[in-house]
Amino acid sequence: MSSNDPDEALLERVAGGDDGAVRDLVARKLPRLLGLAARLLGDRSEAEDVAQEAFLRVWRRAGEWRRGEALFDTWLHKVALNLCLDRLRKRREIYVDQLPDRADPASGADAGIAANEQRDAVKAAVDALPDRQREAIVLQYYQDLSNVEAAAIMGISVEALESLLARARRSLRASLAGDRS
Amino acid sequence: MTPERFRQIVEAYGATPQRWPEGERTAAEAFARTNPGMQAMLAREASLDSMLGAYQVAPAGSALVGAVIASARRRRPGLSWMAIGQGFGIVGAGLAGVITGAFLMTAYAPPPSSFAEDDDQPILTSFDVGDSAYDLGDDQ
Repeated sequence: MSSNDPDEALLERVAGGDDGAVRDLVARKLPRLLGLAARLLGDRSEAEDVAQEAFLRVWRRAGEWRRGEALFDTWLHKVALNLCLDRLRKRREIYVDQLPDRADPASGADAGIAANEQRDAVKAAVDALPDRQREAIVLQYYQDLSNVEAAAIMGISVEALESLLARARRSLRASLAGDRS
Repeated sequence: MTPERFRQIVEAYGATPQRWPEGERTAAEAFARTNPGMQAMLAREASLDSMLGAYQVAPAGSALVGAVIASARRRRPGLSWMAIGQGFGIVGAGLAGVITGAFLMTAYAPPPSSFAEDDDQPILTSFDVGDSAYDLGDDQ
């Protein structure tokens, strides 16, 4: 499995103190981490914090990376996902009696869907999904991970992942159809 | 590939074959080609795929990229033997200079009235010391 990891050689160079490798790894992974965290948290500033925290763990662990146990990208997604879940948990603890868990997907959308409006409508619909459904659709659709990788990151079976994905897509379709009407 | 399994795949993964499970992709694509009745479902899911694609995240700004790279320099996980060797080389040269300087100061210079000015000199080391602000301790 380790020989199939496209990040392994780069990670070894990072562990060796290669500044160029650090820049390459940031260029390769930061957009993915930012996309993951932004869509899971629905908050750009918090997503940037999560991306930085995830990279701190990379720098700390790069020299200890054990071949063959997991793909680095899968491990990194798991780290970022856990950081996001910690933040979502804290958010709920603070706001549980004060704010709705998620924005109403229909509240901010106009009937006309220009590019930005459509983006906002989809964001609102994704934000409104239950946490596990949102994790599934973000990992599978937006992060382009295979079903096996996404299920492993979430700690569930592929069958359970498919169930979450199907429910997420049904909810998204209903929300977005509502926005259009 | 059964109609039921094809429906499950498309409803979970959408209409793009590249997103379908690798082990079932070929069979599912063949099923789609030979079953025109599935086109309506594929079109419905393709429309949703297209809408979801509108939710793009703006790329990282240069400030964030710079901060992440700087954090690597602060918390370098390990040093190569070459880097360590270079470090010892710098330290060794520094030590040699200090010893030589101390000898010359002792031999030729008058005793200084104060060491206060030395406090303004930067302390140079060969290792980049970690910033406590970035030290998060052990995970979890």
